Formats: sequence, C-alpha cells, structure tokens
Amino acid sequence: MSTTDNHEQRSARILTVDDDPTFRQIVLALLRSEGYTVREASDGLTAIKLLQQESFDLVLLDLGLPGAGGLEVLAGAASWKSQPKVIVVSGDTTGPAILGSVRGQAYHYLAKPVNTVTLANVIQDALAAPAAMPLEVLSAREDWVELLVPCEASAPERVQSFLRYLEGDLPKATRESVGRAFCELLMNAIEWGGELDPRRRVRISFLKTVRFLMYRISDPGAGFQPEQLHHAAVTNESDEPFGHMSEREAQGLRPGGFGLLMAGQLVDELVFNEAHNEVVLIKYLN
Amino acid sequence: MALVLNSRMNRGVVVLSADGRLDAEAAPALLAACESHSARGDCQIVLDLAGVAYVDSKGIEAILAIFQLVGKAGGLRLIGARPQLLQLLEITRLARILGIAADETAAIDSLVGSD
Repeated sequence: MSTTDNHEQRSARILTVDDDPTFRQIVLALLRSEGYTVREASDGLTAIKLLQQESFDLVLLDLGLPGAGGLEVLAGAASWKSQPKVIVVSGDTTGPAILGSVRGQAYHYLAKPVNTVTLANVIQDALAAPAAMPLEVLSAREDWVELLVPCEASAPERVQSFLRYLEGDLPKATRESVGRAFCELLMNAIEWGGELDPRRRVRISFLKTVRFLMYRISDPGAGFQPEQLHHAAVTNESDEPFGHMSEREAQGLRPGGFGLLMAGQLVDELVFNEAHNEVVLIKYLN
Repeated sequence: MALVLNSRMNRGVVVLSADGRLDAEAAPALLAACESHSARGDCQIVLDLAGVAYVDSKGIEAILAIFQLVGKAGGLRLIGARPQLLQLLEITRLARILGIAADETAAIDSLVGSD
C-alpha cells in the first residue's frame, strides 16, 4: 500500500452506529487514534438522518438498535448522501441477521465480541478495497443460500464473513476446514474462471442439512482439462509428492500448485462437472 | 486482512514475524521482504508465524518460494505455526522438507549451531 493510499484512508469519514455506549467509546478511541474522522449514532433513526445528510466512506453498523434496527438502516441506502461500505458489527449471528445483511449489501460481517486489532484490520482492508460490486442474492434460506459473486480478489473473504456464521453449530475444526476449502476453490473460480473481472460473476450455493454441508461453485470460464494439470500437486503420484514442481519450473511458474490438493483433503468429497467449471464440495456431518 | 511484518536480527539470523492473514493478497509482501533480506546477504531466516491466523495455498506457496530462495545459501526455519498451518503442511507433504522448529532459540541453533 502506498503512502498516498494510507493518507487517503486516514482521512476517511466513518460513522459508528451502536446503542452500547461503552462499545461506541472504544470504537471512537480506536478510530480517532488511527486518524479517522468519526461520527457516532446510538440509534437507527439518528443513523439514517446522518447518512442522508452527510457523506461517509464507511459505516460500522450494529443490528439491534432502538428506533430503527440495523437492517432497516441498510434498507434505506438508496436515500443516503453517499454509498459507503457497511461493516455489520453485531452480536446477532442468527440466519435472519446474516442473510438480511447480505441482502442489504453489507460489505462484511463481524460478530461481537470483536477485538480491536481485527476491527482495525477489517476497516483498513475495506477502505483500501475498490468499490465493491454487489453480491446478488438468489436464495436466502438458512439451509440454502445462493449468491452471484463478482470476480474480485476480496470476494472469498467477504462472502465467508457471512457464511461462516450459518455453520455456527458445527465444531470449529469442521467449520475451518470447509471454509478454507471453499475459499480456495472460490478464489480459483474467480482468478481462473472469471479472470478477476468484476463484471463477471461466480454462482455459489451453500446447502446445509442434518447429514451434510455442501458448497457448489460455478465459474464463468470454459473450465480446464485435468490431464493438463501437470503443474498441480493434485496430479502427483503418491511416491512423488513434489513431481509437479519440475513441470512448474519448466513452465516458468513460481513454486506452488497446492490449492486443489489442499481443498480435496479438507472436505470429504470434491466433484467436478465434465467441463471442470463447476465444483461441488461436501462435508459429511455426524 | 493486512499482513504486518516485523524483522530483527538475532545472532546474525533474520527473525521475521508475520501477523494477520497469509493469503493471495499478502503472500507477495512476505516473499518480497525475504527477497530483500536475501539480496543483502542475510540468507538465514526464521519465520515466526504465531500471529498468522489464516493461511491459504498462496501463503503456502510463498513459504515454499522462500525456502527455495534461501535454501542453498542459508536456510529457513518456521516457528509458531498454528495447527491449521501444520495441517496444510502435512497435506501438501511440505512438513517433511521445511524446517519446523519448536521455538526461536531452537531454530537459530539449528541454523548457526548452539553456543
């Protein structure tokens, strides 16, 4: 990040909306110490008024607010003076809160309690990221979420900031494994299938049943031929764990090629369609 | 989430601490930092990953690239790796070739010898 970028970020205007005065004071102290210009609101109606009258670069938004809730605040975004990114910071991690935030085009979701280092990092990243294309919601059931995701490098972390909470009742190790496999494959789809073109979109589905957790990722590219993946670790023979490295060297590629291998080991099943531009990953529960 | 890097010298060895996410966005910065040390002739590096809460395949690839960068002239040791990272190193079988040490002292001892 350049010095200019840092300077521009530090002059950013941030609105923090929370009815907890202690939390608000902590956030205000943090943001002011970082050099941001900060305004605050303790209820939804005041937040709406400020958003209609003043321009902001970022909003930190609680959901459980007196007057008008956070989701109501989001719903009125068309009447705001500017279109800041919104980071929801809430203790509510129920399906309706998460999915309502996605529908309301929140940029990121952070569950309370949140430590100040994480908060500062997420704020910095959100301010540094280019204006994000919207996530289009095709289905917002807690057990079946379907989204169209723009092919942006920031999308996997952004999407995962919401979806991870829909897996909240699963063991942490399971959530982390599936989440990492999903992010690997979504990044592949965005980078190779969508060529990091934000106008192109990847379709993702998240299904959760009593017996399994499933993600499906469909990218806009032409797919690939597995027999041509000699530069990927997933094609190595078991007695040659680094056989792909010589192929990468020959092709002038950096060391690597582990993404598919990792994703396949982190879930129970990984299934591609014939063209290899759609993949389903499944984690069995119980 | 941004990756914060801090480096210092200990017994002639670079100790590079990373905090944050080691992903596609951050991996180039980590590699560039090590290339910078290597270019100055500091080819023995201890990479402290205790502050890395998330790592993806690009992060793993960066670690491998650093290993190859300094491997012949000096050496790389990893310390502080969390279970998630250790799991990925096992999956990729890199655990068997990368030097993973218990702590900074052990890592430096293995690079320069114990006093």
